[in-house]
Amino acid sequence: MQAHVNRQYRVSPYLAFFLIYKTQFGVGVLGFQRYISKASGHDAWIAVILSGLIIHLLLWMMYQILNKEQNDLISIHQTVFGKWIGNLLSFLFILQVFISGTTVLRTFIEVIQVWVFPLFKTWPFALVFLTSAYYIVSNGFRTVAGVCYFGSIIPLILIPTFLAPLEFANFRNLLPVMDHSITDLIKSVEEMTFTILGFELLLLYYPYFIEPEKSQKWTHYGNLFTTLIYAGVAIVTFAYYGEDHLQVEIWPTLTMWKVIKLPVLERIEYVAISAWTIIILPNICTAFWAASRGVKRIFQITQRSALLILLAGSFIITCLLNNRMQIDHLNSFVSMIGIYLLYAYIPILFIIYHIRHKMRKRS
Amino acid sequence: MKKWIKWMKPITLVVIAICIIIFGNVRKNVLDEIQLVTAVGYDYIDEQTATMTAVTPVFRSDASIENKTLSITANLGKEALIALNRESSANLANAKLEVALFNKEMAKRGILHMIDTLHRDPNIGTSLSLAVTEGVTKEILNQSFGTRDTGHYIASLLEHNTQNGSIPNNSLHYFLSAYYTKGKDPFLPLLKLTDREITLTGLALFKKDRMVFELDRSHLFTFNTLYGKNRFPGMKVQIGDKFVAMRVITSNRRISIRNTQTTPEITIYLNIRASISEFSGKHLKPQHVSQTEHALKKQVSQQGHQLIRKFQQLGIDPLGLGDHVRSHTRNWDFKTWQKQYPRVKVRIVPRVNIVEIGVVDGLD
Repeated sequence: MQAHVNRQYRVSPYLAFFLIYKTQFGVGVLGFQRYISKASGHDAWIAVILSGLIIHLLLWMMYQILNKEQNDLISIHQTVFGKWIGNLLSFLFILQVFISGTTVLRTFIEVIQVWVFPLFKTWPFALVFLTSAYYIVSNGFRTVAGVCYFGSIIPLILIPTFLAPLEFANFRNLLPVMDHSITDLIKSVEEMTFTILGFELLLLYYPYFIEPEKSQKWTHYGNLFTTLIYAGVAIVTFAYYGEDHLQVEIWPTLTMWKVIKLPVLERIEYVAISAWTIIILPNICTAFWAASRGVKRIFQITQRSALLILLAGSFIITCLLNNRMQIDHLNSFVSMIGIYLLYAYIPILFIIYHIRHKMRKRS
Repeated sequence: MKKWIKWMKPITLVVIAICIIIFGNVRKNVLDEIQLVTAVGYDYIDEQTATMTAVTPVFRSDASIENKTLSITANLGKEALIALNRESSANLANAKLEVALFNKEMAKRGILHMIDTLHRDPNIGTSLSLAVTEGVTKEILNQSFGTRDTGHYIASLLEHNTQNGSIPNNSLHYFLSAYYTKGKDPFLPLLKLTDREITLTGLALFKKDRMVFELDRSHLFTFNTLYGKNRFPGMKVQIGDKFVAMRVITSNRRISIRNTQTTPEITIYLNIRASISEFSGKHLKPQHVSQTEHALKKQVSQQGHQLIRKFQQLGIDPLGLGDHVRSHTRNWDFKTWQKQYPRVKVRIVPRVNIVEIGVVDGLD
């Protein structure tokens, strides 16, 4: 059950930066501000930074396990829990990855339907997206990493547009700082989970790096970059909207763009939503690559057939969800699983693994 | 097994191509075949119904613009736009909407319903200008102003008056953010049609979404100065029997708050800098300058206290004093503030500095 990966299929460690940043930065950016500010209001930007720090810690834990094992999560599960329980846990992990990939797709299609094409059907778009995902993922991990690279670089041109609403900003909205209790901040950190989920896929693509140990610093840089962007966007948003105003906006980022008017372009959010396709595609590709890779390793079938089954499943789920309420429920469901996965499961795995490791050494 | 795998990649490309060709075909909106609504007006009829007027520019071959108005009396909101389409020869599109007007009766009875429609629509930008009009909006929108499109004309009138500092920043975004912010109430510019021209007559101050007070143009300078950092285009004060006119008056505001826990005491420090541009007397002497400073100071202080007392009586807070207190208070409670607000002591301390007297020397 060794997951040995030939050198020709591996990627350079520095690509870990893009793989981490890209999977964290996705559809959540369009609307995370409202969720995080529900509990802690204008102090929620502190929660963004806190969750960034927690993820640094979790990344460190993951590397502590991965560097010792030199393998992916499925092998780790099998050595720690034995074949059956280990595979069951891996299966649950993959299910989570699969559902979050599907959620990202459906949420993005919803944005297109609300903002750009109200008459647009869900299934043709999902079909185009998922066949593109098949095309990319079936070419292997190197292609997926390449798509992540471009999906990170190209949308960087959108970053300056986050500064434009500053003209209307009122930084007094952010005062007084730390007006909320620690419990409120923790609630906001929980709400932040869905947005920054995605870095846990590292557990599966770790063996794909040339000299995997060297990728650690790049994942930390990637996470730092994501945290800074999210904190920046959160601060701009809280300065732009008052606390109660923000609660009525479903997509604060897009509504913020509604105020920008260029001489040649009446409004910018249509360009931004189109550009967001490039942002979303790598997220879906990484999710389905990881899920199909996991299925391959557990059930001993080819990755291509696993991928086809998963994509077909995702297509059906995407088409069955057809209103805001269901999508919102799905989002909070994924977010809830994410909370347990990140804040409970990874630390527990870290502890159990190290106990086992010591026991093995002694014997 | 191996065989079909080889064909999968071309198949994916074909599937993508077919999907794009068949389903990528969304309904087109060719610019020549739609009518862009640039202004809408709402007039109050009764509790349930309103007249909605929409203006669309018609571009003629000799490059002149003719304004076409359509109006309908219907239930409030979006339904009206759909109904207007029945009167129109081409599909009406609201993406280029620049201004929305409400008549005074409408504003007095609440405009939240229409604001919500404008806010909810992803096609409408939040830089949309809003204004309250004296008289029926339909009359204003039926009027042609030169060779320009009416919506654009009204929007640029409001925009340039905002930019030169005659009225504080206002647009849909500012209205919404003041509406939702606790401890702040929105205001809109007030327009009037006189002799086929639109003039800005002041501000309409709102309590939540209802207009409750009309701020006259003569109070605009004081209001703007109290509202925040400002650059006012010019005004006139009387000293003795002479008049002095000033241009570009810049002002800064600093608010200090004491006793936030019991009854807040607010002091507004104003720092006003102006230069004299006109003088009706013979020679401008140093004492005239200090008299001007004194007169301006007195005017700001008197009008300011008057306005704030009025606001406290009405229970409105267009200056956002409550929001300011919130940003200085931990665990601020809006309900307590609402009870405190009418009794809050507000002091205005203006400092006036005449920095220039123009290019003519007269101080000898």
